[in-house]
Amino acid sequence: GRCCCPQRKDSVSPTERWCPAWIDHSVTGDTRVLQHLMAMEKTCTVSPYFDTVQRDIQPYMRRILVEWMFRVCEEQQCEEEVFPQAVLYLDCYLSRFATEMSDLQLLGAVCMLLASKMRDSVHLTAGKLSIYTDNSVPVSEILQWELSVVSQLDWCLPSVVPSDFLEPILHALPFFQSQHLPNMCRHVHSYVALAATGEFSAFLPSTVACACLSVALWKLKLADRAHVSANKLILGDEKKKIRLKHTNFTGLHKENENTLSLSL
Amino acid sequence: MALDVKSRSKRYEKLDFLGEGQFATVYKARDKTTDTIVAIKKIKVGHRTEAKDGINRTALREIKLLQELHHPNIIGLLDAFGHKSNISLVFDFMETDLEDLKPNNLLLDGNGILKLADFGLAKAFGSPNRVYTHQVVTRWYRSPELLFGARMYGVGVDMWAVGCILAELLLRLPFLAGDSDLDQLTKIFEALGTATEESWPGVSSLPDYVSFKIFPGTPLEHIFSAAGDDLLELLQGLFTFNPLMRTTATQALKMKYFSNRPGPTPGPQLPRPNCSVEALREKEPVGLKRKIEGLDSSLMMKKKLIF
Repeated sequence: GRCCCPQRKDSVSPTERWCPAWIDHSVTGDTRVLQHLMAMEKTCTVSPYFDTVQRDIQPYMRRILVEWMFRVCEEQQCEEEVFPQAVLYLDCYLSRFATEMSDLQLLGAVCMLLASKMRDSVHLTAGKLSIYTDNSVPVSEILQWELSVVSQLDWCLPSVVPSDFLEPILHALPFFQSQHLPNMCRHVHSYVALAATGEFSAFLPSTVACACLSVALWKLKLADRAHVSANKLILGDEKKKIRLKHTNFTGLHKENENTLSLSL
Repeated sequence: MALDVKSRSKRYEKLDFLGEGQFATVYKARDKTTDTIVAIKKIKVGHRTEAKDGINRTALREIKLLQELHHPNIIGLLDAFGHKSNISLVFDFMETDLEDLKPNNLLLDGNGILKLADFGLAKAFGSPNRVYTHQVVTRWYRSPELLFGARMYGVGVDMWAVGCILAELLLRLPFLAGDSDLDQLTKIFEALGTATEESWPGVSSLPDYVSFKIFPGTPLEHIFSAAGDDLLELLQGLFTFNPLMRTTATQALKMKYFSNRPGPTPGPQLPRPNCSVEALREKEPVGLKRKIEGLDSSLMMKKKLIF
């Protein structure tokens, strides 16, 4: 089997281009991976912070910031996980520490720097990010804040984003055929990015992953609604059944579809 | 973990310099709070280019992984503190010297317990399959798929390294000591025979693939003449070219070598090192240039956000 997401690497440079390789079945096919991811996602949870922790920061400001972050990641051709990862750091930080409006873009830049360091093969630099703020945030401030943000987040950087669940879940879906993987990846990455832009940060990454996956499966007509519209997505055979439960799956599903139709 | 380096570093009294590598300096120190001996690994912010980029990314990964890992065979991270871009990690003190699986990163404590150290490039098991840089793992322990430039790889790279370490223990010197990537592949194929599409389907489509002269290879029993059949069987499995067919850790542990007699010497009965700590051997630089550097004028999303 070949792995997913070949599209974007081609445009970078000959030495940096994406190259096909195998799926590591010892990783994706091991149910411990899903269990590990599900345990890890609970270590970095986000609680609502508008009007509680934050006095200065309003939802619309977050939206402006997050859209800017998305464009920067897109323009820099970061790995697909960098943007949702950066937003997760942002939300984790904002749900714990009161932040001034004037520091918001700085915080966003720092979160992108950290996410890129964790997820990209070649990471974004502080210098580049400073330029992206139109030099309103100096490099020295980005670097100073980097250490502070890392410490405040308790070094909790390799946290989980929804697309991390993609391959292990697809691997466990009995009806999924691997030739659809590249297409699935493309869809799911877009939905995950949309979810990060919206108000989904209170949901666990696995919940968002299931919602995005089910939308993608349905949109690509790879599964009928009976497979995906239940309250839980049941994976694998009866013996090693893993249930990703979500209290508000249907609601999230609907919201996700609405967000999608609004954005398309 | 605390942010202030001054109050934090006061807790530790520097006793001795232990060693220096390309990325870190290691000191022996006394923890005044607990009155124990620790090793402090100070990550270097050596080059100006690195200082410009802030915290060393391998440090970021290493710290979190070590915080999560609690295992008798993995070195314990006791504390981490930082100041500006400097990060210091506090470890259990080991009698032998201190990113990848190579003999230098295998430490023995006073009770003869093996501890793995240096997780700069480790990934949590469960991190999904990703496009990684192939510039990982010190060259001598690097698997052929990495040398051919594979950007997506799996646990097989570690099992290859385990094979190299095992071979080094038998030979008492590095088994495949190449001085360049090409030389490394030559050494591998000279010893084990040249990889072909037959023995390793897909090899010729790897990005940095070059065809090699066909070497027949030397049977492993001739190279490791002191090794028994069970050990040769294990080595053969670990030195399988096709990463999908290479013996996994789980498979390896079920092989006869690990149950046949004689059993391993209990840790405390192992001979102790009589020499002082050896200097840290330098590691391979892990560096690629950022994709599109210096195209400032073309950056569309360059803007100061007004809220």
